[in-house]
Amino acid sequence: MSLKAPPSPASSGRGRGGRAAGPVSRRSGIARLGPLPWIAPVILLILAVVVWPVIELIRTSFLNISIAGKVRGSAGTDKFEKLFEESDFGAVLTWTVIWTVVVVTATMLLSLALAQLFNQKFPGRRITRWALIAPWAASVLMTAIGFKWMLNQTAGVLNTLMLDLGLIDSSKDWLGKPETAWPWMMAVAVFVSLPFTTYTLLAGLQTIPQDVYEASRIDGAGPWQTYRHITLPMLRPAFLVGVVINLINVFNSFPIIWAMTQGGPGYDTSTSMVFMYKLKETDIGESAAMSVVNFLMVVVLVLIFLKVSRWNEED
Amino acid sequence: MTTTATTAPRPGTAADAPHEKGSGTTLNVFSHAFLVLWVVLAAGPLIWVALTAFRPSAEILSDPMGWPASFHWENFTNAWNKANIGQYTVNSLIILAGSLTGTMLLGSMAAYVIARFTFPGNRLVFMLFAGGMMFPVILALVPLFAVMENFGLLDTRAGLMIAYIAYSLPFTTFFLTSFFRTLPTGVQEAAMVDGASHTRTFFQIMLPMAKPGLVSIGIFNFLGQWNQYLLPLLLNNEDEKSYVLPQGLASLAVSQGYRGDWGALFAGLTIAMLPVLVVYAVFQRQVQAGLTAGALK
Repeated sequence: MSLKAPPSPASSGRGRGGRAAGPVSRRSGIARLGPLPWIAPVILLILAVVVWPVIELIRTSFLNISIAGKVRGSAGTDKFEKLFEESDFGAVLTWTVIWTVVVVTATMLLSLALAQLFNQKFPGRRITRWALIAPWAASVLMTAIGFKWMLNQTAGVLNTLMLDLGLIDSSKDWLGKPETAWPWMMAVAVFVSLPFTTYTLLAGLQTIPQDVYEASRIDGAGPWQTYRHITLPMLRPAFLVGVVINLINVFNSFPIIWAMTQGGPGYDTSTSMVFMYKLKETDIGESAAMSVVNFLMVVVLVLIFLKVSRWNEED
Repeated sequence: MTTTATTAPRPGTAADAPHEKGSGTTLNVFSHAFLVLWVVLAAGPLIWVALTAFRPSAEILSDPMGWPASFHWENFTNAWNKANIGQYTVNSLIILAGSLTGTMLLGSMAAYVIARFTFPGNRLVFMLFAGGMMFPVILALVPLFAVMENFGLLDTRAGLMIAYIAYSLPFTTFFLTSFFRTLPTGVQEAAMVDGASHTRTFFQIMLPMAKPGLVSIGIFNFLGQWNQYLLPLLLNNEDEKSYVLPQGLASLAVSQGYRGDWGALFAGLTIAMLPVLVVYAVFQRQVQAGLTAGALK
């Protein structure tokens, strides 16, 4: 996908003087409404199923709602104040940022390496490319549950294996403590993000014409120089797409953490998404407030995204 | 897979040869080890699941890592019939038939209009899709439930399809918009000049031209919707008979603790993975071709 916004009116393919060469004449009012029936159902659907919930969410965050679901009047900004005063709020936000940055960075670096390897010819490339799709084929939820079993303290494969190899003295409760649970969950998140990212980068690599490499080789550039000065700059569009899509997905990621630790113990392994979900059990208004904060953070991501796309357009 | 028609044309093999030789030496022992590690990590668990699906439950418990002594198909029949995986698979297929068709049709129509027509609000509509992409299902859970309840769509197949479509549309439209923009305008203009209707131009000229893009976003949506768990959990949780596959597998995963039918669970997981692998095998080439042409230009 291109990161460019649509071209301004009249710029796309109908610049032939006054002749109405394009499908739509800009002069005729009816023709200008022509495409509306095509796009109206989609817009209505998005408005009803995606936008309306957003508005409802914002409304709920300013309401006082009982556990049973009864609206008890306006709560003003009480719910937001309550949320900001939660003792875990700061830690949750910090961990959300760490989670997103670590997972996206690791995913991009590993994908760069994988894409580079997959772009070369070697025996067994077919099989390794098949393996690339594997984490994508199994659902994220099932992958997370699988890892949870592997890491189980009493019956987990990992503990058994490490005990046998003498790496640890006694079996560990990997997911019971935040300091071991976080790295494992991050590893799972990277694992499931790799296929799509590697595919995007691989596609990017294949758009680079071979003669550029040829020229660089003739100029006597070493492999590392070639990579830094030719491959990386030309890979930039694909790289940006990968980063942005991953930022959104990792930030919004829920099933991995939920399946592996449910954000616990306490809120020690919760990102803001999980925190929001857990607050729903006790206070719907506060949970909605967290959702709004979440959404604002997503909007910041969108703005970064748009900024990135503008950088892209300048090229 | 070698380069496809959509990628930049490679120079002739003569010029190509030195480069290939060069990369051959780059692909040293270290890279090979890295690839082998990756294959083991990525495909290993799936192969293990598929192999374990052929072993009796007692055997799995006593030695989880063992090789099947003999191949037992009864896990599959148990999963299919007793654990209702058959019913769930059928449900998933029905939902997907509707939602995937709807997503692709509505998404490509919207993308075509945004990419090729100027109308007031064009930019705004595009932003609506770009914005919708950033809004995850999980944030909307409570209000979405209310919306569906208001329309009487809760616990109906139509409701689930509509929700799948709505949450797949932003990315689909976004992706396809840039894809349609890369297609040459000439053919479309010629068709319109010759008096073809919008509908005919779209279905007979634009859609066939956009096939690589449609295939890759189609597979992307297939994977997403086939494995979708949150939406059915929220909107389709009333009747166990109408569960889709991920719901059925999740409940099987929870209940195997006391029922002890691990074999059926692994068989169920294997059944759920099969369609994904088949679709991937059939369309593997196009996925990459589509990504190349659509994502990066």
